[in-house]
Amino acid sequence: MSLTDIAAQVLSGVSFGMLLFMVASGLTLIFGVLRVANFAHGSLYMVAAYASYTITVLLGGGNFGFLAALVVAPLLVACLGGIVEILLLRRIVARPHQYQLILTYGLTLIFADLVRIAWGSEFRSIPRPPSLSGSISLLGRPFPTYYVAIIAGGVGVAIALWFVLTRTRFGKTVRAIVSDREMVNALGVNVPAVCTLVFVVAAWLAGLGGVLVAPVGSIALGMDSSIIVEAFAVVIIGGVGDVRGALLGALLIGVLHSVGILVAPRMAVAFTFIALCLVLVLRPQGLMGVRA
Amino acid sequence: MMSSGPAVARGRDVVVAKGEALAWGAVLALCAVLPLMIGEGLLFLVVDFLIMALFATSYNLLLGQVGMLSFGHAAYYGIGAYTVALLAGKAGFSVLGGLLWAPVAAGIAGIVIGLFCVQLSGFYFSILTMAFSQLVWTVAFGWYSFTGGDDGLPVNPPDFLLAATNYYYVTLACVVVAIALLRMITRSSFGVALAAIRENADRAAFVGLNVRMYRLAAFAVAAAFAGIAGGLRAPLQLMAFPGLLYWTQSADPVLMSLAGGIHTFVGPIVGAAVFVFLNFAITSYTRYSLVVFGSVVVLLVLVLPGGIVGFMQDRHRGRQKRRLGFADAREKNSRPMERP
Repeated sequence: MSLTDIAAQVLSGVSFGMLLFMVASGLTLIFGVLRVANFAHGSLYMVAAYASYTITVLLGGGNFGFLAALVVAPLLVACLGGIVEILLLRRIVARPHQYQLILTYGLTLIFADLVRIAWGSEFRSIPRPPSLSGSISLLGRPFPTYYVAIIAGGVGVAIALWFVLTRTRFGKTVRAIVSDREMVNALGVNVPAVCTLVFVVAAWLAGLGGVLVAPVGSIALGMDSSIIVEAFAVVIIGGVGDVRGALLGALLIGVLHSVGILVAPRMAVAFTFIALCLVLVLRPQGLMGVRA
Repeated sequence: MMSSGPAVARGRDVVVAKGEALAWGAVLALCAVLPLMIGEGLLFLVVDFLIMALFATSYNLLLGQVGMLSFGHAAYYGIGAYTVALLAGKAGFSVLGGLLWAPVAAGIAGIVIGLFCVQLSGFYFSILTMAFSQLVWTVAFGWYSFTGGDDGLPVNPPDFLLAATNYYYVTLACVVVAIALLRMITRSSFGVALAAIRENADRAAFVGLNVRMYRLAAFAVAAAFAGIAGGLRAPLQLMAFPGLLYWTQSADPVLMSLAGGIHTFVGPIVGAAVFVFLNFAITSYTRYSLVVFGSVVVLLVLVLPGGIVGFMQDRHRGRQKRRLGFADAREKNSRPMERP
């Protein structure tokens, strides 16, 4: 195992980490703003992946098809998220947190079966878009261009989120709600509307992740469970409600995952849980969180 | 039916009140003659229900009694199943012999994992329990040579246990004894202490209860009883498999307890019955049971927060109040406060 092999593996871990970041950033915002642990986030990711399959099949797998999927699928999933938030989550805002967890878990089941009804149980896959299917030379060995594109996308999302959260009024409101929801409400801000908007944006991000992962992994039932567990791990490790923490946590988990595959292929997934256990025991507020 | 208020306040100083004893007796009598009334397929379904009833009741010791929302209870269920399978397959134990060790193994796992988990509360506790449970799953899934990995571990029960009626009676006996023990635990001073911790952990600490130790004890006891349920599951399926440990399996007792109502002892049993028989009815009609299930769950959360038993209790209480002439029949404070 040469150093360049390890470096390449780490970099593909970074790429996976970026996908995880897209899902986890939305999840951590939902958690911070709405105080809901949204199990259905993984389902939204999965719906976007399947939707991008249908779109690329309808439009023929080239660049245009993928671009269309990139635009349409996240919007679709964002609308779905909006419906879920307005019709369901708003009604249980005052309930103890276990009921919200249970509700979103029930949604996971519903979405899983709806996907199965719509697309069947077989694996699907879509090819990478032609202009991104090559490889670049990295440290003397080929590295898939598509992974570089994912990393670039993730960086773009991170920058956009940073800008919105720190430089816009809306972002300030969001951060204020994460800190002290009651106070923001008392100041006359329409908190429910902000919550809906945050949920919709988070859903859009999950959808983006789902579209981007579609050409790389297999589109299959069960991708919702695997991503949501990792995303929750990222949220906790990074610190609930903190997007920088989500980025840090996602990169950490992504790299751990890839290194884990090198070291112990069958038990690679365990690394994530060990990290999660360590963080929860040693620093439960997460890497970026503040002690409650 | 026990509500979560202390037994003392209701003026009972026996373990089971007379009316209750009659009700339980009738149910047990029915269970005893059930094999004479229904066919083998339905009998296996009832065995499934009994196992899940125990699983859910053990879980409600955590959720309803102490207020700990665990998402990793399947770990102990699965450990119970694997204990039976491993002892039978690798150490030559009989299935029933292995069943005696299932709660021990599960209880030890409960102590070890609980030691870490009870340091946290709320959402973090929930996720840590899920994380540990997934860790156990990963080990079972990945350690092919020991646990059979994805293939699972076969369990070969002795011939006499393969008959539905015999296995039904064995399961019935185990589950009845286990649930009776759980009942005694919830009614004991230990159980009352747990309820006090649920209502107000700080106050309980001020009164002198070591909150962490009590939580750890509850965690271990709940784990042990879940292990019995798992130990009964393995011979039923003729194998122990990693799916029993996956986090989605952990959701079953949560949903069953919530459906039936977490504030009473029988709530989880009712919830288990609803889920097992509803699932059977649904899968008989359609392949897409999850949509119906998930919708039922969503509706339950939106409409019946106290679960089925809670809803019926509220109605009963409402009728009682109307009968007694109270002006406000809808007493919101008659049930203990739910933990925020």
